Amino acid sequence: MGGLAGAVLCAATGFVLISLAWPRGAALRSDLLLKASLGLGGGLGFFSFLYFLSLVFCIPARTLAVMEVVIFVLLSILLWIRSHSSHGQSLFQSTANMSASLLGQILAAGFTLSLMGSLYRCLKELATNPNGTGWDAFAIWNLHGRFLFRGGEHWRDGFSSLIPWFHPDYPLLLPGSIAHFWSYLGRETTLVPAALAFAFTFSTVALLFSAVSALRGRNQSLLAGVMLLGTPSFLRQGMSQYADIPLGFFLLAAIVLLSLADRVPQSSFSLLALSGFMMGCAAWTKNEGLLFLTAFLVARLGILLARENWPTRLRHMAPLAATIVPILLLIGYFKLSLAPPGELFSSASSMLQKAIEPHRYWMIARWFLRDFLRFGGWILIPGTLLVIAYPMILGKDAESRSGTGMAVSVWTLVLAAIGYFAIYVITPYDLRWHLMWSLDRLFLQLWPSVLFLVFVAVRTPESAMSLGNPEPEGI
Amino acid sequence: MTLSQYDKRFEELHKVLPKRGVVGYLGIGWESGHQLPAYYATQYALAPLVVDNSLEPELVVGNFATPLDPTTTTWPANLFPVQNFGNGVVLFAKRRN
Repeated sequence: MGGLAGAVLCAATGFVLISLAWPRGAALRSDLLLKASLGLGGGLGFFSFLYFLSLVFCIPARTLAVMEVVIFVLLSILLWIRSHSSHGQSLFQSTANMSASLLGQILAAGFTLSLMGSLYRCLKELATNPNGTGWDAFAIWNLHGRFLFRGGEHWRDGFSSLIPWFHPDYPLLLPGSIAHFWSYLGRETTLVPAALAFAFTFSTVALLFSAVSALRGRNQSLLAGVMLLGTPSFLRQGMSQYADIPLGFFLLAAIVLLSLADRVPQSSFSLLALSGFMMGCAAWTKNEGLLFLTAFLVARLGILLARENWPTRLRHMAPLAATIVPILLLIGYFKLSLAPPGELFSSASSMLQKAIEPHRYWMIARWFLRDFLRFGGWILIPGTLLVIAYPMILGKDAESRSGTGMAVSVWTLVLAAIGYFAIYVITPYDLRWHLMWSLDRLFLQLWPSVLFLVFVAVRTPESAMSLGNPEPEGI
Repeated sequence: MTLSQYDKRFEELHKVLPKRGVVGYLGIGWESGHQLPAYYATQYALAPLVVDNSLEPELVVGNFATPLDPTTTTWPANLFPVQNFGNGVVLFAKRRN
């Protein structure tokens, strides 16, 4: 019962936080699925930070729970006061949303079937393998959670480099969330990591669906949802209880919020701040999140420097800094004071030696090309080919190319992929082994965001086929 | 063996071990593919103790694939058995010369 109450409190706090940052004037009930899916991940990220701070400052679990309730109540009062001025309409709603064409009905049926099948498959998988389906689930993420939960005041003991492959330098969003909910329950149960895996997987689907729906209409969002649900390895990885799908969720959330901020310039400060928060959560989930965060900031700064004057640059960077800087301080404290150094950047001379070996580049390029077509575990046609073919057939939507958010998002993904490549070049592990066991998961981290960008940038099926629906209009 | 079975397997041992610190590990009789998973499952079961995959620490956890007959088993020379839990789990201590 305590665990359920904690989960509800966490999701509700996330929802209230997102609603507070939502553009003024929109009703509380508008964009409900979009806010709920963002809120679930955002709430988990926020509670994970609170839990970590409670460990650092030795705050007892009961006191932390009371503090979380107080925070929720205060935020809810703020939201209640603010919601008096709302007028009940979504500020993002695309006019193509109302489509009830035959195509729309077929797509809806396809999406519903995919969703039902995926839910069944995932619940069955979790029932069969409640501890996840790979080593990393229990040997890294859930074990970190055990150290935090069981360690009591000696929780720092867990950051030991004596345990091989334990990766004590990995950030704590997922283990912290597991330990936090166990502390609500007062005991360990495999239900918690399983529920988190389920929540992140289907929040990603809900976020992709609702964000594309808000920006490009229902049919486009149904197609995007089917593409994601039709990626077998996405569901498999989601249920594995690894951290790649949660990381992909936060990357998608940051990119979605960036695109939304472009649509509502008058409310862009709060949406950009939320985008920065989600990127910070990505960095708190996995070390690759730090790469995303760096790519995101470089892309944002680069594009602002090329296109805007100084006041505009400051206006666009300040909200990101408002949320990213505190999170980076917390991660910095964790990395510098608690965790031993990571294994990837251990020896400068060895890294330099590897960086000048051409055969490594060639091998990585071949693996990138091969996994590009295979990482999704597709049976007949690679989803990546469909995603390339779709814009070629339907054409790009002129409106979607205008904002800086789209450019920043595309460059973030490109820079992240280049970053992955560079990491493989200098990896201290056997290169073939490292590529074999991680590259498909790295592509999966980017996949939901790639789908979002493609389906937002491409014309909708009904407009491309001229079935009578008007072109989607932005705000 | 599932992780929950591992938790159960080490339940009695867990009670006699210190609440924190580092213990060693000796895994014998596991097929090559199960050797490392057996170590990780032991670490998972015994957390928040750190299980060092070596015989260096003062206390060493023995994790044997099959229960041992103490009368016919030869222990590593630098260790002596403190307690045999009968299910393939043995607690060793370092022998002091």
